[in-house]
This record gives sequence, C-alpha cells and structure tokens, in this order.
Amino acid sequence: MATRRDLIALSVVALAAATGLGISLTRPFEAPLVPPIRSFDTAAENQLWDLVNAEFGPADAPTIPAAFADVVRGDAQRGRKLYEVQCLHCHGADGYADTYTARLLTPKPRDFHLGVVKFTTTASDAPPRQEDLERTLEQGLEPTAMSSFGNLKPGERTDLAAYVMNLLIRGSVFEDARVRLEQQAPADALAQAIDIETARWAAAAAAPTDPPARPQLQAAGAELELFQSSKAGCFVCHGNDGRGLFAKDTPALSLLDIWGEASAPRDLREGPLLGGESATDLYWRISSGIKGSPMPPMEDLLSPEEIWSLVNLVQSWRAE
Amino acid sequence: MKAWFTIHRLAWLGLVFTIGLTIGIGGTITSTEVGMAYPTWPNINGSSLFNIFYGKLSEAFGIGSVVEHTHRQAASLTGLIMLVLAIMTWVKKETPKRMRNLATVSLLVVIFQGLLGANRVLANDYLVAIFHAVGAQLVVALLVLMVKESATSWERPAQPFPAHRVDRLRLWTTTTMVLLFLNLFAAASLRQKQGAFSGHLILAITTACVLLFVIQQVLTKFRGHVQLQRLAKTTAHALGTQLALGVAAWAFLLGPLIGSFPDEDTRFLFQSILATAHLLCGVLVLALVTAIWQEAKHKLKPEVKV
Repeated sequence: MATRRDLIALSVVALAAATGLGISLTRPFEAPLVPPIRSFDTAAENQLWDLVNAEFGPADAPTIPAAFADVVRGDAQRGRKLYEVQCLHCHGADGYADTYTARLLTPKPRDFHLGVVKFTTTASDAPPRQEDLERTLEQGLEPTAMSSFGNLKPGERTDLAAYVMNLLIRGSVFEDARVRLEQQAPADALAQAIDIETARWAAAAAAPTDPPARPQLQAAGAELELFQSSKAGCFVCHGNDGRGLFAKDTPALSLLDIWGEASAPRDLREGPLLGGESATDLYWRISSGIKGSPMPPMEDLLSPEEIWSLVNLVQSWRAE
Repeated sequence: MKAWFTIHRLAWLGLVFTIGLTIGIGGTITSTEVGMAYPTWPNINGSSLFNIFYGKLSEAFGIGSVVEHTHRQAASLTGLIMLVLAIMTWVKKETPKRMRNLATVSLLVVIFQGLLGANRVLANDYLVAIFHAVGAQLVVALLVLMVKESATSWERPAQPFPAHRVDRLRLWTTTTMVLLFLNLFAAASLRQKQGAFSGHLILAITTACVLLFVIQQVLTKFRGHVQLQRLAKTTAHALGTQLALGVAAWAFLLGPLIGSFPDEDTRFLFQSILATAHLLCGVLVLALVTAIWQEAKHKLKPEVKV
C-alpha cells in the first residue's frame, strides 16, 4: 500500500509530467539556427547582398516587396516556420542547399539562389509561378528525397511556397543585379534588377497555365519518326528507343545541370519521370525543357501539334 | 534446458542487435535527417530491400540512402530474430505461458513497428515518426523482459523484504517506466522538430529525480538483493552519463555553444554523434530500469510483520 507521503510525491510527479507532456504537445519547436552570413568576393557584392536582404528581409524573417505582391500568395513568414521544420535540413537556412544533409543525398536538393526550379508550367526563359511550387510540394519528385508534402494542409503548402518564392525571387534579383555591378553602383544595380525581375515574374504568373489544346492522334509511326528526326533530336540523348542512351551504367558521361550535378537522360519507357507523368506535365517538359538541366526546350523548334505527338509517343511507350 | 539456453541467447542477440544496429542506425537517420533519402518502401526504386551493393546505392541515391537502407535491413533482421523466438516458444510445449505471450507480443510489436516505419516514409508524417521512435523502445523493453525470464538465474526464489518497502519500490519503478516512455515521446517530438525543448527538459528532470529515488531505495533498503544492487549501480552510472550527454546536447545543438564550431562539417558530425549517443544512452537507461522493474515485480516477496 502506498503511504500518504508516496501519494503526495506521486501527485507532484504527475503534475510535472503532465506539464512537460502538455508543453511538448502544444508548444511548437523553435529552430535554433540562424541563416549563415554570406560573404562574397568583393565589397560591392557584399553591399548588394545587404541591400537585397533589406528589400526581401533576412531569410528567417522574410518580406515580400510590394513590387512582387502580385506574384506571391500566402504568408511567407508562416511559410518560413514550416520551412524550418520540413525543408531547412536539405535546402539550407537561406535556400543555398549547402547543408551537410544535402551532401548525403543524390540528386542534391534544389539550391534556390539562382531563382530556377526544374519543373514549371511556364515558358523556357520564364521563372516558375507559385502554383508550380505548390504542385511539386503536393506531388513530390519521387524517387528523389523530395517527397510529397501532401500531408500539409493546402494553406500550409501555399505559405511554404510563398516563402520559397521569396528565396527564388531574392536569388534571381541578386544574381541579376550582380552582373551589373561592373557598370553600376549596388543600389542602382538592385533597382534595375528589381524592375526587370518584377516584369519577368509577373509575366510568368499571368501566362496561361494550360498548354494548347491536344489534337487528334497522328498516324501511327509519325511520332517515332519525329522522335528520331534531327529536327527534334530527342534520340541524341534518349536513344532511338527512348531508353536513355546515357541513362544506364554511364552516369559519368557528364551531362551536368547548372548546379553542377550529373543529369542523365531519363529512360522514357519505364521508371519514374520526375515532375509528373500526366499529358500536361509531359507537354510542358518537352515544350519548356527541364530548366537548368541539359533537357532543352522545344517550343521554338516544334509546333504545339508536334510536341503533343511526342507526348503521345512517350505515353504509348509507358503504357506498353 | 537446452531450449531455454537457445531462447536466452537469441533474446540477447535480439537485444544487442536492436539497440546497437536498428536503433543506432535509426537514431543516426534522425540525427542526420536523411530519413526521406528515398520516399519508397521497402525497396529503393525497384532495388531489393536485401541489396547489399552499398557502393552502387550510394552512387545512385547518395550516402543518406545507404544509412536509411541499412536501418531497414537491420530492422528486418530484428524482425526475423523475433519470429524465430516466437516460433521456438510456440513449438516447445514446456515453455511457460508468460514467456510465450511475451514472444508473441514482441513479434506483433516489431511487425507494427515495421508498418509504422513504412507509413512514416510513404506519408512523410512526423507524428508517425514520433510513434515509430517510441515503439522501438518498447521492443527493447520487451526483449529485456525475455532475456531475464529466459535466464537460468530467473529460477531463483523471490527474496523476502518488508512489505512496505517492496510496495514502495514497485510503485516508483512503475512510475519511472511510465515517465521514461512519456519522456521518450517528448524527446522524439523534439528530435522530429514537432515539440518544444522545455517539454522534454521538464520530463527529463522529473524522470531523473524519480529514478534517483529508486536507485537510492534499492541501494539502502534492499542490500541483500544482489541482482537489484548490481542493476541500481549500473543504472546510476548510465543516468549520470545520460544527464551529461543531455546537457552537452542542449548546449551544442540548441544552446549557447551552437556557434562554437569551426566549420559546417565539424558542427554536423559532432552534433550527429552527440544526439545519437544521447539517444542510445537513453535506451540503455530504459533497458536497465525495465530490468529493475521486473526484479521488483517478480523477485521480491513482501514480508508481513505478525
């Protein structure tokens, strides 16, 4: 039998345990990390970086400048909190993906500082729209470490995408202004970069999201002929049969993306296709290319009908 | 006798394997945050779960995928050991019912753990990850019970001690077990970035205080009980180490020393090792407390004064 002293002590312990458990269940994790202080080669670049941070807020307290208010939806600050839990260990405290965890993964997590992501529904020279990021968050990019975040609520994905938009836009503004530093002072270079980038991001956001209507199927064989033609040139990397000439056993055949990572052409007949397998996904992939990768855009080389015929071909291969 | 010896050895093997490999690698996964190195389960993009070509795997998916892959392989072998243990207890008719139940429950818990692990990956769900972490400790506790109950020394009779002392020890060892699992939940929440540090801190301090009281009780009130004395002394050492590791983990992962690393590589390596060591020492404390709880429950005979 427990004594009165035991019961009193047990009550105190139960109260402490309930308090600890209650805090664990209700109070959010507070990330201890602060964004690394970036240092660049020249004083002008460092000054420009400070100006960009003043414009977009530091990476852990983001703000969306008024010029970009129309292209970003959601609460970037709430998105940052989610980013700290869900994304930071791979994509880094300020989106440079230079964490140690990122080094343990292949392919490497996306480095946002160039303002480029691979899978978009925009023209080849256009930046992504926020919906592209939200779709990637929802669907993931299997079989890479970028898994689906479909378990987040839609509003949370919007906030998270808003924060990633902040990182992407700040990156592209910085890189745009950086190349102007030889001729301009940092403040002037930034002002001009913001003007140009505002127009680019706004145009991408306003462009139609659906590809041109899909035409009737062409005669059998025409698609393969196009695939193997010098006009489209798909066979050069993907092989005559679409299996990916360099895809197997020869990853060292050094096709690199703009982040310096090996980028082997996909086997189009089997295995996952990153960025989705729907007809629309495939259309954009062929039309705009995979941004930053060796997969070039076909929008200037092929008509929409021809692009659709390649989509038909890939889908027929995958259905076999 | 031979069958018991085999079960005992197998349970030991399972325990060492579970703590050293499955939980050790699992803890490393959380420390290095590579749990989602590839979001398929159990195979890696078509490559078998039992693929041991780690070099090729690393080349294709990165070292992180090898860490995750070996955790799944170790967990599969833990499951296999549990299955053999369960079959052995079912086949041997002279096996005590309690032992058979323990083996069956352990097997079911391990299978459930595997399904939780799958769900954690496929749904990318942090809450599932927390329960997966706590479930692993439950497997350890069950294995400790099996190791002890299959030992020949378990045949010894219960030792008589004053009833009020026995009751008190049983009450507080049970309380410690409950606190340990609550604290494990809080710690897993913290490691999965879902819960505040202060929750884990409060529970850790509470658990440590209660455990110190248990140790003090054993050392002073049960002097003649060799097994309990030995377990209490070992637990005291493990608790001291665990508290030191806990303070270090706080200082270097969350507290004032977080900025004291010369470079990112050193920071990552040191923090990962520290966090995993803190986890493993915690598992050791749980295993020892489970053993004390079991001794207190079955090997103490309340002596009523007439």
